[in-house]
Amino acid sequence: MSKNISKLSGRKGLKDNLFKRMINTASKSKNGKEIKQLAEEYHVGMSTIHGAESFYEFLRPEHKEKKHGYVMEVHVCAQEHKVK
Amino acid sequence: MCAGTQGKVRKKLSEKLGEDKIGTMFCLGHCYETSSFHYNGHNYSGNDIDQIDEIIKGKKTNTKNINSVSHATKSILMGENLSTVEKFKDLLSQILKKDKKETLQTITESNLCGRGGAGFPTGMKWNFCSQQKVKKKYVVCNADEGDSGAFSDRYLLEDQPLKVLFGMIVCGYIIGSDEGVLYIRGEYPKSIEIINRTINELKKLNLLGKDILGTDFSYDLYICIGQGAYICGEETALIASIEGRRAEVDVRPPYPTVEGLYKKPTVVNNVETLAAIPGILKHGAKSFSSIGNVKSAGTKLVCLDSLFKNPGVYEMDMGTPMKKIIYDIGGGFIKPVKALQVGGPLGGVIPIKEVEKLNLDFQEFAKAGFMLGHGSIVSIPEDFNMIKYIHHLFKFSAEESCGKCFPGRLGSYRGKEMFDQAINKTNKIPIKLLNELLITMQKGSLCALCGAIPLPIQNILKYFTDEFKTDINQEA
Ligand SMILES: Cc1cc2nc3c(=O)[nH]c(=O)nc-3n(C[C@H](O)[C@H](O)[C@H](O)COP(=O)(O)O)c2cc1C
Ligand code: SF4
Repeated sequence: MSKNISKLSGRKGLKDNLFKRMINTASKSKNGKEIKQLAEEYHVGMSTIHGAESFYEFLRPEHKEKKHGYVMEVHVCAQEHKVK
Repeated sequence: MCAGTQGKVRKKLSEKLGEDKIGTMFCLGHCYETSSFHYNGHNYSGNDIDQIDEIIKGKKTNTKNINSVSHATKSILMGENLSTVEKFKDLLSQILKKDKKETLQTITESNLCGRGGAGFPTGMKWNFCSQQKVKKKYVVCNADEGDSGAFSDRYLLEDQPLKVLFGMIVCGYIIGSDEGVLYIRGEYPKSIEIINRTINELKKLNLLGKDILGTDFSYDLYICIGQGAYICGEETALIASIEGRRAEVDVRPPYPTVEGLYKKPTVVNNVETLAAIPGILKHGAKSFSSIGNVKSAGTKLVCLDSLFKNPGVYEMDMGTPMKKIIYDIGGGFIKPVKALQVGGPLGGVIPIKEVEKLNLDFQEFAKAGFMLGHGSIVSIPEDFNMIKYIHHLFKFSAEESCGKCFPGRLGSYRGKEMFDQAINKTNKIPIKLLNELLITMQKGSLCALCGAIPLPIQNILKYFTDEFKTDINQEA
């Protein structure tokens, strides 16, 4: 399955990179039209694009809504920060 | 954790922007001064938060550069080599005139091993890929530096971009590839901008593109921007991501050198590995291999966080005593520190007394039950609660794992639950169950995210259980 998607994505390769296109689509798209177009262009299913998109934190709608500020989430950084 | 100024940063941002407009991002690579935040595509840190009104109005603050110094016998990663495009052109034209085999032999004899964590010999990796009888091949620069405490790749991308790009071009030339891609994490906007600008500059000078310097070697470089997933640092997940798939880890073999990007032979190398190439080619294999030992040769960047008196990124000879790095270079700590976590969230948690006995050496760290990894150092203050630290480690792997394998996906959550309960005092830590869980994750996980997270937890259990003896249930 993934071999097939890799090869389909490889037809356009780095020049017209699917991941980059997905990022652009995610930043604009409010409906499924662009995703459908993208899926057709790359000969993959819409679920492939949706599935991939949902994996990445920055592509999720709730992330995009926070258009402005991000505080660093420090999982494993034990610093009591230096207050200057 | 991070309650200090991180809370202050959040408070100030939410006062200005509204709480619902504030999100979280993982490490922004500003650990040398902290108080980091990201606003409208730019990163800020240090005292920048005090200028939030101006920043909102569009002012760009002069965020402090990373404090970077080379203490190496011979600087490979920071020196003047390749500091200008003229020097880049000179060295590249020399390499393009040389026999590829000779150049590959220099890389192999330098004993350069991958700096991304796994430490695979670079010459051997390039050789495997060059032997593949396939027309299309790729070079991927892994610039997804996600380890908390690490900013050495960011330093190289922003301050030494020519070195990194040179490494990629030479790799492409040797393995027979005409395209490469840098996968740069989205949390590093300045790195993306600088690399993009440098690529365009090289293109204009015919140092990239068609028939480079009048030879029949053509090479193009692209940038892919990461979208906030730590697992994309793992090479097969990174490849999946570039291809537009979910960034799930793939089973190896086949290794990327045989079946990589778009199922074509691919060399994936870390930023620092690639940045070492021009120095090695300019000064010769021996200049690198004679430092440190065979498997830990050359120089290495080490990142010291803001609990050191002199935070920053330092180029060190492999084999340098850690005591020297901590006290002479780092200047010691601004407050009492009980342990260091070296090598990111998957690296060991080493009590200060133990780390002082070690040298900067991959094998020495591994033999002592730790991991040097990418070389980032996060300090754990004396008063920091180790139950909370373990909780953070499990939370990290639960949130960042790709979910492909059971031990990783389920183990991380079960571990996090155990420590949720310990922190809430609803249950004691079932130590037998915890040990079994850690071994299952170590042995059964598909990759080193959930497979290596047990290491720092075991270190804490070994060295710091006294701190939470009363929170342990010895029977369960
Ligand atoms: C969970 C995980 C995260 C990783 N993150 C990175 C990373 O951020 N950067 C990196 O270069 N290698 C990372 N690696 C290692 C890569 O899989 C790979 O070994 C490396 O990029 C190869 O390059 P090198 O031989 O130059 O080290 C990671 C590995 C794992 C398992
Ligand atoms: S160990 Fe974790 S990150 Fe790695 S494949 Fe399994 S679930 Fe994914």
